[in-house]
Amino acid sequence: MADRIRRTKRWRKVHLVTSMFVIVFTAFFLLSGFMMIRYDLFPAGEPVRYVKTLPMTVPVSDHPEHLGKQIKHAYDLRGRMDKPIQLKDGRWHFFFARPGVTQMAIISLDHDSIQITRTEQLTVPRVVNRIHHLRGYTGGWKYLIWGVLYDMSALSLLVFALTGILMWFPMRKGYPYGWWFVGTGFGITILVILAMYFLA
Amino acid sequence: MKKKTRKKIYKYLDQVHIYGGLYCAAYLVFMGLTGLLFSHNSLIPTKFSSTTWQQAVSPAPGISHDSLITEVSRELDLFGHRPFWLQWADSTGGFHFQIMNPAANYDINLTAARDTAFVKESRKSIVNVMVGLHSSSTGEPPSWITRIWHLYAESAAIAAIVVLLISIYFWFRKSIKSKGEWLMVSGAALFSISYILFIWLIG
Repeated sequence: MADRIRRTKRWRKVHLVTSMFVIVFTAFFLLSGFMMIRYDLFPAGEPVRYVKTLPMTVPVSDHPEHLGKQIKHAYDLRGRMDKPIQLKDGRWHFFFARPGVTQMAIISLDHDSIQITRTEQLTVPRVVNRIHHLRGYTGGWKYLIWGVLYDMSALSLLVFALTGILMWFPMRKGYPYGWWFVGTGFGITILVILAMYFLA
Repeated sequence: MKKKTRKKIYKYLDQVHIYGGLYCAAYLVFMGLTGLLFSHNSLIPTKFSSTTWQQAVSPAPGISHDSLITEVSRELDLFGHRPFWLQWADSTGGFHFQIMNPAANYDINLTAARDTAFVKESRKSIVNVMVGLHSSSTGEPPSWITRIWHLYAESAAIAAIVVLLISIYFWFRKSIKSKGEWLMVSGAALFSISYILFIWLIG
């Protein structure tokens, strides 16, 4: 009995401490997830596009990644930079994105001008959607930290769910319908995965 | 508020917290696992096993490409997204399109006479299916499977948000007592909010 109480207390502590660290991120992903599930209730609006051509003030180097960083700094193009692409006609194409705003820069063939296309979609549902989709570890230290926080939030979902079940289990007599709730959730999830895998 | 009423409310919230938490536990485990896979996408298989087959079809003559795809998909009993950038007519009059769902991709080549569909079917792994279902919680692409999944995902997401709000209430009522705990929670919350704003505004 004492052992069981000790165990439950330990799971409770893991449950609590985890939630204290990542509550905001977890809340964000749950809310943004719901906004995406019911995207019909949260219209994202139409994107607005601005195009401008500016004189090229950055010396063109042979290293596209380095050139991209210089352009980003010189023209104040904020956001995560994708891998530079060389177009079929030889021009270099750079792409920078932050939630709600994307900026595409193309350097002219003679290197004397740069065309910047800025696309804004700054409605709350769109910005939230883009933040929800930020993942991975590329793009420098800012996105490395984001990647770690994202992974911690994903892991915390597992920890909340599993420690919650572990805490409920010894007290299941006090919550007699618990099996129905946990069974419904896991039953539907497993059935949907199998139905999709074998029947779709 | 009377002590008796408060106790009653507290007991009620506790029941909602436990039952709601148990109901959405599978959703949280699923979204947590697939979320991790998205972040470490080298773990998601990209090579699929393919088979080819063909079937006679009879779409109505002279219909638009959109209607043609809808009719042929129905005849072949396939569902999924139909990316517009992967649809084209070739010089011989044949028509090509793709259908993609979490379990399979179908490359479909319709003859110029529109009487036979040649299909290359690429079956995905269970990991791809799970990752695909993460995004299909919107109910798209439409099928009875994604409809059931959408109903569960939506109800579980609402349950998770309610459970989260009750958890925060419980924290303030009984779990966070010392000044150190207050500092830790406020610090973690402030850091998280600032970082989300930083990524959004500065990027």
